[in-house]
Amino acid sequence: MKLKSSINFSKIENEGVLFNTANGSIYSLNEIASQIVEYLPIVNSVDEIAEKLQSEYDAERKEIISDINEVILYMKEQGFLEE
Amino acid sequence: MILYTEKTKNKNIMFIIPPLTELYPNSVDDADEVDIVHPPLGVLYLSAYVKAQGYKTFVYDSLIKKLELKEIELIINKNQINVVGITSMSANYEKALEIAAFVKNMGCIVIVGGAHASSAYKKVVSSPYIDVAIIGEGEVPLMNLLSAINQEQVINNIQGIAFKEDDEIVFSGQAPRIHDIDSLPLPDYDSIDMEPYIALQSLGLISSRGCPNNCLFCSSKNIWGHQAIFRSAKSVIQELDYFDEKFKYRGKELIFYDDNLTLKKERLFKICDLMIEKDYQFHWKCMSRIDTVTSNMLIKMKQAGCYSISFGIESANNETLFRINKQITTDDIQKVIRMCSDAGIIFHGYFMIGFPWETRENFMETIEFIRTHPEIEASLSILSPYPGTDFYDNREIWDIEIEEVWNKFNHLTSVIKSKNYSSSEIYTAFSTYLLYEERKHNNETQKQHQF
Repeated sequence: MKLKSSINFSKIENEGVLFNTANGSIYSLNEIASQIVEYLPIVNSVDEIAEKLQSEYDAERKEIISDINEVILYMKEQGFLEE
Repeated sequence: MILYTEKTKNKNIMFIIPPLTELYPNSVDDADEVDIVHPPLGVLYLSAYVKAQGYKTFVYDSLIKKLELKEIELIINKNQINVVGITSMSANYEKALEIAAFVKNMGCIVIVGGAHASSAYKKVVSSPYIDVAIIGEGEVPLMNLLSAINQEQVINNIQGIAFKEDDEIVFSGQAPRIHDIDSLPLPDYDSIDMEPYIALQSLGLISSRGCPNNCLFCSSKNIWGHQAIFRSAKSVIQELDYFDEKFKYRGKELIFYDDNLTLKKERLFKICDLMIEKDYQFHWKCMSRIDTVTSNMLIKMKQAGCYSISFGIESANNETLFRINKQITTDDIQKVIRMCSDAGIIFHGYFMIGFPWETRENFMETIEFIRTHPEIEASLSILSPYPGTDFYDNREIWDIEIEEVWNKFNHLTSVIKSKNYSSSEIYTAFSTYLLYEERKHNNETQKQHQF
C-alpha cells in the first residue's frame, strides 16, 4: 500500500499535508495520520505501522490499530492510496 | 491529399469540447466548486463562422456535462455527421484522443484544433485517429477544409493545417490572421445550453485576439503569433447588448477573456464610456499586464464596473522576471498594487514556480511575496512547459527533462526534472502556499460571520 503518484505528502512546520496534483486540493493531517503516511513507504503491513507507533506513544495496541485503520480507510475513500 | 468519407456528403459538422480531466466538473452540480468554467468561446466562434456559410453544427459541450460517447454516437448517426472537430488543450488531449478514436471508428473525418494541436501538431497528426490538425486561428482553415472535403478536393494548399500523407507530416504554413475581427459573427451561443453558464455568472467575451509580448513560458504565440488584433468598441458593445437582451444578464458577473484588455488605451476608454452610458451594471474582471495600466485607466475601468484585474506576475524575483522576458520588475508590480488599491480594484496576480533555474529559495521568495501582500488575491501555479515554448523546444539547453504526460500539464503537477530543485521541494512549496490560502480564506470567512 502506498500513496498514489498524484498525491504528494509534505511536512510544513511539523504539520502533515497531502496535496492532490490532479485537482489542487490539500488535506491537513494530524500528528498520528502524518506519521502513518510517513511510514507507508517503509512498511508492509498495518501491524508494522502499529509497532512503530507503539514505540513512540503510550497507548494500547488495540487503540493504535484502530486509529491506523481509520486513517487508511479515510485515505482509501479519498482515493489517495494504491496497492 | 483528398479526405474521403464513406458517409453521405452533407454540410453537418459536430464540434466536441472534451472535459478538462479533474479540474473541470463533470456536471453542473460540481461546477460551483470550480471558478474556471466558462462557455467554450473558441468553438462557438467556429460554429458561428461555418453556420454563416451554410453548415449545420452540433456542439457537444462536456465542460459542463458528463461526456457520454453513446450520446455522441446517437447525434452522429441521427444527423449523418461525417466531420467531427475536437478542440483540446494539452491537459485534456488524452481525453480528446479517446473521443477521436471513437468517432474515427464510426467513419468520421476527425479534425483537431486548439492550443495543443497548434503547438504539437506533429505529434497530433501522428495519431491514426486524427486526419487534420488546425494550427492557429481556426475559422478560415476550417472553412476551407470543409469545402475541400465536400467537393473532394485536395487539401494540401489550405493554409493553417497539418496532416499526414504517405507517412510524411505536411504542414501547409501559417494562415494569415483575420484582421477585421469585427466582421466575425458573434459566438454561436444558441448551439449549447447556456443556462448553467448564466447560473454560474461566467459569461464573458473576447474583445481582442493575441498578445504582442513574448514571455518564455507562454504558448499564446503558437495560436495567434505576436500580433494582437482588436475588435472595435462598437462591436464589443454589440455583444454586451446581446447578453443583456438574450440572457437578461444586466448587473451580473462578466469576464473579458483577452490576454490583455488594457493594451490599447483609447479603445478601452471607449468601451468603458459606452458601458457606463448603457448602464449595464456588470461586475466585470479582465486580464492585463503591469506595464499597460495607468491610474486614469483604472479609475475609468472602476467606473465602468470593473472590480478585479488579473496580472501575470509570475515571480517575485527580478532575475527570474528578466529571464522569462516579462519586462517588468518587482518595483513595477508594487506600484500597480498601490494603483489598484487606490482605484478600488482587486489586484489579482498569477504567480508561477518551477522555472528550470529556480531553487527552493526562489519558490519561497515568490510565496513570501504573496504572504506579505494579503491585500492582493493570488493564484500560484507550477510551470507547465507547453509544446512550442522555449522550455519544451530547447530542453537540452535548459538542462531539463520533461515528463510528457499531457494530463499532467495542469499547472498543479511538476513535469520538469531540473537539477536545481526536487519534486519534493516544489510540492512542499506549493502546499505551503495552498495552506496559506486556505487559512486566509478561513479567516476571511470567520470575519464575515462575525459581522
